[in-house]
Amino acid sequence: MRGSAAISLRSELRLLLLSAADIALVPLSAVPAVACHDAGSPWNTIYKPNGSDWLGVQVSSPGMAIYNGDVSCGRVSSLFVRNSDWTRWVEVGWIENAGSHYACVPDTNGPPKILAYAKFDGMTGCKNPASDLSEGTDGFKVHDDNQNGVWRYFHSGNEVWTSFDMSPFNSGLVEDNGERLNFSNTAHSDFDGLTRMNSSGSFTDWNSTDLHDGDSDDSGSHGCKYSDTHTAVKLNGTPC
Amino acid sequence: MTSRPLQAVGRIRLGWIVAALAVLVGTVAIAFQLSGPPSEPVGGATQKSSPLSGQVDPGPGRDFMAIFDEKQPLFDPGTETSLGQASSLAKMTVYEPQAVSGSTPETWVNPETQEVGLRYGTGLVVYEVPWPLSADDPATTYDRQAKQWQAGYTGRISGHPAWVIPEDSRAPGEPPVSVVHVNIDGVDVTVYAKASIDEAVAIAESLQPVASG
Repeated sequence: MRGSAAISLRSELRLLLLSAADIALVPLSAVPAVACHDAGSPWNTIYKPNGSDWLGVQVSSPGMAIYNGDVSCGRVSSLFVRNSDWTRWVEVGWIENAGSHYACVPDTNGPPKILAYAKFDGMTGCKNPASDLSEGTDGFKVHDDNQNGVWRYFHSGNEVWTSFDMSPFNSGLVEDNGERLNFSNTAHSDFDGLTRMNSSGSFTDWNSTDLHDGDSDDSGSHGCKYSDTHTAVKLNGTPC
Repeated sequence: MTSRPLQAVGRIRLGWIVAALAVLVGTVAIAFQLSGPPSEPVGGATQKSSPLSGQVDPGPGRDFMAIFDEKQPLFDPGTETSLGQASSLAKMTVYEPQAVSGSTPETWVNPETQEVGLRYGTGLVVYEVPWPLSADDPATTYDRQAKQWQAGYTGRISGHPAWVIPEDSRAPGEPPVSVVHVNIDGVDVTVYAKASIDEAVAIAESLQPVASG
């Protein structure tokens, strides 16, 4: 009786330890995110200026509008710098991530948070945890001013994050981005005071600004260009 | 008979303890994977992470595997050109893998950024760009990158500094691609291959300058 109880106990222990190992080894890719985003999303409205070899991008004076909407899925308002084949990019702005639909970045439940993101040859880095943001209009920028492959991220003049070394990626095309994951959420974004860093390390105004590929890929939103340095994204039916 | 309830209680207690430990171990493991080891952050938070199933990158970045999709332009912005013209347009030496000689790559150039991309069918892309003068030397940089990004190992290929990232050294959720970075006389060449790491290294070993045409 004692022997069989011991065997039973060992079996139980082995089973439970196996469970522990199983839990520890469950690949994260097997954990599904709750699906809320539309097939084919994210939906993006992107503006870009001319040129493709900039050391950084900034919006300031006044800056990027921050909205605290009732977001049930995902929303992004961001600036980014990328290379020509999309294998390397950096991105700064704010994010709503209700339900962890976006990779790496923190979940949000309430106000948006700072977004600082880096992508290098399929690998991901980001700021996590990240601070809550209040509604308003704040300055954001990301640049590699000393051209060493390490990108520096700023919010309201404060450096909030640095990327891992992304050499030789130290410049690229700059763009702004208003994004949503489904049509239930607004895509409203506003970027006023857009500049980019030139090879001398100075920020100069965007010019010849235009929608990327000539249109938004969000069929429910449209872009608004007020000037080369001021763009926005609004829902269809809402005039610029 | 009287011992049975005690044994049962003991098993139940032990079961709960081990179950709690299992949950704790699992939670710690998941938390570690989500958070990653600390590095040298500004702002107190830096991490490398990998996407969960169904997650997307914020921003309009296209899927990494799109570089192998011949229906999509390899470069945007950029122009398609001939292999022979690539060097003069990019104003640098362009390297071609001899291991796939006989195949004519789809060749893309962004002259402004001096980026060159060679696409061979749907399984191999070679991306080339000048190494920045202001960056640390390639060998030092590759060592740092392998450590920071927690991917692959460094060494030399044909005498040139290299960073080798086997597909199975990548985290779950990262693209199933072997990647080799090799720096040849100031040109950073990245091989993206839907192949084994041995095949990707062999491709990198076979890189030779393209004659300008």
